[in-house]
Amino acid sequence: MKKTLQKIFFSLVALSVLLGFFMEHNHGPFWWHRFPWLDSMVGGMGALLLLALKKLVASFASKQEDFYD
Amino acid sequence: MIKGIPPGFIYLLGALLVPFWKGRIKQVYLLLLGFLSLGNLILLETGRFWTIRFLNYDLILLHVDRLSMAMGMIFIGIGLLALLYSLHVQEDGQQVAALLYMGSSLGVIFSGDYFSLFFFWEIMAIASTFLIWYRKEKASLEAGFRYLLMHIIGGCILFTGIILHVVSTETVLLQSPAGSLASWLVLIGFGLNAAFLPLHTWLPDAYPEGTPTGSVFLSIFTTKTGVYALARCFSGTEWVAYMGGAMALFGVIYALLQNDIRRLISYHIISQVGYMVAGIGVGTALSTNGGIAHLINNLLYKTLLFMGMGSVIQMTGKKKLTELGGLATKMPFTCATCVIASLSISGAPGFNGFISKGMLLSAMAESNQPWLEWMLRLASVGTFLSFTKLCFFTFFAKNDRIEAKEASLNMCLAMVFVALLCLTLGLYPTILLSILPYPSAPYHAYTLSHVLGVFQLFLWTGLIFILAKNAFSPHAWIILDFDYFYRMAFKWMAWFFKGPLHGLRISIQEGCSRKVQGLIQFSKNPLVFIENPSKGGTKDYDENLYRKPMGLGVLLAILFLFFYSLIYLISS
Repeated sequence: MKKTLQKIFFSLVALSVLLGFFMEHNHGPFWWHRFPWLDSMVGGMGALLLLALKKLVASFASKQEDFYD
Repeated sequence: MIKGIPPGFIYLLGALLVPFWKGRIKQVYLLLLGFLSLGNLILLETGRFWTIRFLNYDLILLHVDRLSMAMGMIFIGIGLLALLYSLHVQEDGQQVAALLYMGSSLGVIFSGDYFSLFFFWEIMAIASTFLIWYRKEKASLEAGFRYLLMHIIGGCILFTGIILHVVSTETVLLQSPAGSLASWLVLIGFGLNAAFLPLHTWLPDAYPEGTPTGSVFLSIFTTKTGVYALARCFSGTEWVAYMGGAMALFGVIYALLQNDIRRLISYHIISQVGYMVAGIGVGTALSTNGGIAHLINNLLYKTLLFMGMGSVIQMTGKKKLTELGGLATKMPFTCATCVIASLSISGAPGFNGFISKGMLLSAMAESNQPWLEWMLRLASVGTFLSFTKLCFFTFFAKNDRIEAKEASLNMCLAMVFVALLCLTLGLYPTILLSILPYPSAPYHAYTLSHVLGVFQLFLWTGLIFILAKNAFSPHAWIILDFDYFYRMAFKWMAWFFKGPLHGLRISIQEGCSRKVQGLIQFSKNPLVFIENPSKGGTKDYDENLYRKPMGLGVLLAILFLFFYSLIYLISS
């Protein structure tokens, strides 16, 4: 069951790359709106960027749970 | 013809009668108040009513237009569902506080002038504090005090701004404040409620410490009244728009780091309010509509999330992601409604968030705001990541040790109603679009590119989550926020007051005491100072020491009479 779900998910990811060719952003005045995989890129790269930011903030702001006690 | 009364009055007056009812009658009474308020709202007509004279100013207690009606409708509707969710609460005080909080929030929404807005604003701050304190734990007591302190400071700043505005314009009508100082002060006052950075710290500090039902009420009103006030007075302020973008990003980064489930959602309130603030700050018809639509949608799914997480806490006694997991089979209703809320807040097609987020992104692009557009896009990624994390580690992660059963019927019913509303507004966006402030700003949510774009974003974000799941797993830690600096500042202030300032007070007091002691001695025997000023007065006055023989007095009296008679005779 878990493997089937994984297969479906990865197939959808691959399909989303193909679907990029059929997409047209009709409310985009900026050049990046015409890029076929904009949202895929934003999703993938954005998640990695946020992960990096999360690690960065945790490196100096994470403390023991009783820090204020 | 009855034209309706200010909607807040129904809750404010209704709160006074709560202690007189018990059991089922009280539950019916609470729901009745909600329905009464809803019925009253239908009677309202556009215009300004209930004007009273105060200090030579006309205070307007009922100002009805499209904006206040949209806000009133969602506040009363979601407030009714929050009342349904909290029906099992036994403490009268908690329900009185909730009703006062709801009533005063509605008072703010329908106020037509600054004075009545401020009056209701302050009742709101005080009433909501009790929803935190009623948890009756040390942490909630302390968080409640910090919450109240922040709101008192915010209230003082707001009131100063209002006074400056009223003095310069001689009107109390709710409008953009005149004068740069008044404008900044009013903006800070409103901004504190809307959780502007870095004034936001009260929110993730206090909301997780409220009672399970109290946090549901808290998530509905305070920040949204702040956004409403910004929409009234600061629409189209570019600085405000960028503040919104920063809030949206800051909120998601901090949410990703949280272990406490309600703190995670609290940071998402900051992020989602950021979307609204950005829309209002840009100030076009579409962006303002987007901001208000997002406010309405956010009220639904955020309330649903607080309800769901409140149920989890109530039924398991645990609130940390590191202690949760495996609840999908034990609490299926809660799980299903939380997944719906998570999809809604992430902006999945078919759910309400899809409509308002799309409106805001389109508005940013149309109004030539590339930076804001990217900030909001990135925040969307973070939102999806956070709620994938929340749902996975609460409901689907393996945990054989956890014991739980489904939440009570009233809690499940309230959650199902809100979840249905999220779906209804997502599937039939015309309902939402018809109540927005600018009916002339058309928007078509379900375009092929928009739907496919969101699927692409979700799939690729989900892929990163699956590949780097360990990096997103929760940790038993706390993350310092700006409140660290406030706590340090207060700590230094406390040290300064207890140390140097206390020492200065003691030395001044001792110096003054010595002077006073000298004055006491002087008043006791001034003659000693006259006779020997260098030694000062050390001896008390002794009348026998200075008493002269009685004959001297008689001689002086005779001499005085003699000379007086002599002068009298010569002159006559």
